[in-house]
Formats: sequence, C-alpha cells, structure tokens
Amino acid sequence: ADRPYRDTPAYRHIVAAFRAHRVTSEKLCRAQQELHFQAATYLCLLRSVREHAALHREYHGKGERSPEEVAGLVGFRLPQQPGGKG
Amino acid sequence: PAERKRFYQNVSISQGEGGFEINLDHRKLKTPQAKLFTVPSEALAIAVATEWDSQRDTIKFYTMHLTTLCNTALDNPTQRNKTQLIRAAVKFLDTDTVCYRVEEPAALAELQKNEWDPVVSWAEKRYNVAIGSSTSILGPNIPASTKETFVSQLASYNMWALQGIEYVITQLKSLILTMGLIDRHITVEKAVLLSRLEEEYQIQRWGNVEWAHDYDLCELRARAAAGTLFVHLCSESSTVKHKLLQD
Repeated sequence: ADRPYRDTPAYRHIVAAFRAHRVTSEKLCRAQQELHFQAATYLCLLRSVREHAALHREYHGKGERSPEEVAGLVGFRLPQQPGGKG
Repeated sequence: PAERKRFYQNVSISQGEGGFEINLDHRKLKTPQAKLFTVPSEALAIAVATEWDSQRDTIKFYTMHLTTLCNTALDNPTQRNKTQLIRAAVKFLDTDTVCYRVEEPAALAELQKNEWDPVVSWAEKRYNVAIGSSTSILGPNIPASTKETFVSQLASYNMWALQGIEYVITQLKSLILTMGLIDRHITVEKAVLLSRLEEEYQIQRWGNVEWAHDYDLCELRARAAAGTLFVHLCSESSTVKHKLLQD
C-alpha cells in the first residue's frame, strides 16, 4: 500500500519525539543529541536497505540468460525448426 | 523458500501482556520458532512494522534486519546466556580491526595510523584502559584488566541489547568501533568506513566495482545501523518495559 510517508506510524512517532524534546535546557540537551543520533542511524538504515535492494535487483536478481539472449549477445539468432530436430 | 509473497494488507502494532506485538491483518506475527513476536519497545515495534509494510509483492527477508534481530533475541537459536555472549564479544578485542596494523604498504600503514589511532585513544580514555595496536601477526596484546573492564561494562546491558552489540561486533569485526557507535561517538557511516579501511584503500588504488563493493558497503551499513538502533531502542529506560526483558 503506497500511502504518503506522513501517514505512517514511523513518521508520526519520530515527529512526536522531536516535538517532545523541543524544550531546551542543559538537562534535556543530551536527550536531544541522542534523538538526533537515533534519527541519523534510522536514516542510514532506510537508505542503505534501499540502495542494497536496488543493487541486488540490478546485479544479483536477474538469474541466468535464456539461450535466445545468449545468442543475441554475439549477434546470432537461434535457428527456427518448426518440425523439431527430426 | 527465500522469498514469499506478501500475504497481508495491513500492518499494525498492539500492546499485549508480553510487550508490543505486530499484526499482519488479523494474524499476530510469530518468530521462526513459532513464539509470539513481542518487543519491549514501542519505537522498535513501529520500526519492525515499517519493515513489514515496506514489502511489495514478495517479502524480502534479507532486507528486514530489525525483524531478524528481534527473532534472534526471542528465539536465542545459539542458546547462549549473558555470560557467553559477553565473552564472545570481548574475545573480538584480540583481533580487533582497528588494533591490527600492517607495516606495508606504507600508504596503508599511514592511513590506518591516521584513521584508527584516534578511535583507539578515544576508547582508552573513555573506559580508562590500555589497548594499543600491533603489527604482529598475533595481533595486539590486550591486558586482562582491559578485558575485565569491558566485561563489566557490557554486563550493564540487558540480554536484548547484548544480542545487538554482539551482532554489530561480528559485522564490523571490531569491539572498539561498536563501542564507538553505542556511545554515539561515531556515526554508522564512519564506523563502517573505518571497518572497511583496507577495502576503501584498495578501491581508491584499483577502482570501484559497483556490483561487489557498493553491494557490500550498503549491506554492512544496513546491518550496523540496524544493530545500533536495536541496541539503543532496547536500552532506553523511557520506552522499555524492563521487567519484560529477561536478563
């Protein structure tokens, strides 16, 4: 289901957490830094998973080529033998 | 099967007796050993739910790192207790990537010195221990007192967080880099770069091979990020129900 990212629980949770930590004081500054690190780490996770999946599709997901594809690589076409090899 | 079709429409979380649960339509998610999937942190549950909701036609389990970590914590397939986990983690110090130096080529030795010395110094100051580095084939000689310090440090983490810590150590091949992440001293990108310093050096010399190098880089980043996030979400006192975490 492709809904807007703002509608996702993850987004709402992160925004709520940042809002809760908006009050600045010495004591809460550390909590803010921790939240920032967490958000940066989560971003790294999401981005890396997406990039890895894209590379997987591009290079590792295609499987073997068919005989037709292989022939085509070197400019040949497979012979047509409607009656089989006989 | 390596992949399974997405068999659910909606993903949601709910709170049960044992913690937060993941619902795939009306079904409750279970672990590989058929236990009820429950996590002690709401934020972690949301992140796991996001993994499941991100799947399109097929479920790509190899991209669901947080789910995998939770399954490991719940099933404990290697049947290790806290002491064994800590011992396995601290053992990595003997062959810690950032302590194990080359003498040649000079350029790589220089790079290791410039990039790894600071993080070793940081760990020594932070934990008040002696670590050092070595070009010996046997690796660095870590004092017993240093290991003891890390053992007691790691003992302060609960079982779930420890699974995460040991996972990151195994991925990065470094206890020191992992502690750098846990203490938020370095970012995941930096930790991975430092872990792969020799690969990066070779890539700069010989060129990048996208389907191999970038693939490995992204995978390591994803795993290290997942492990780090997992540890922090399982350690936060504000969001974690401590009595639910078995020590």
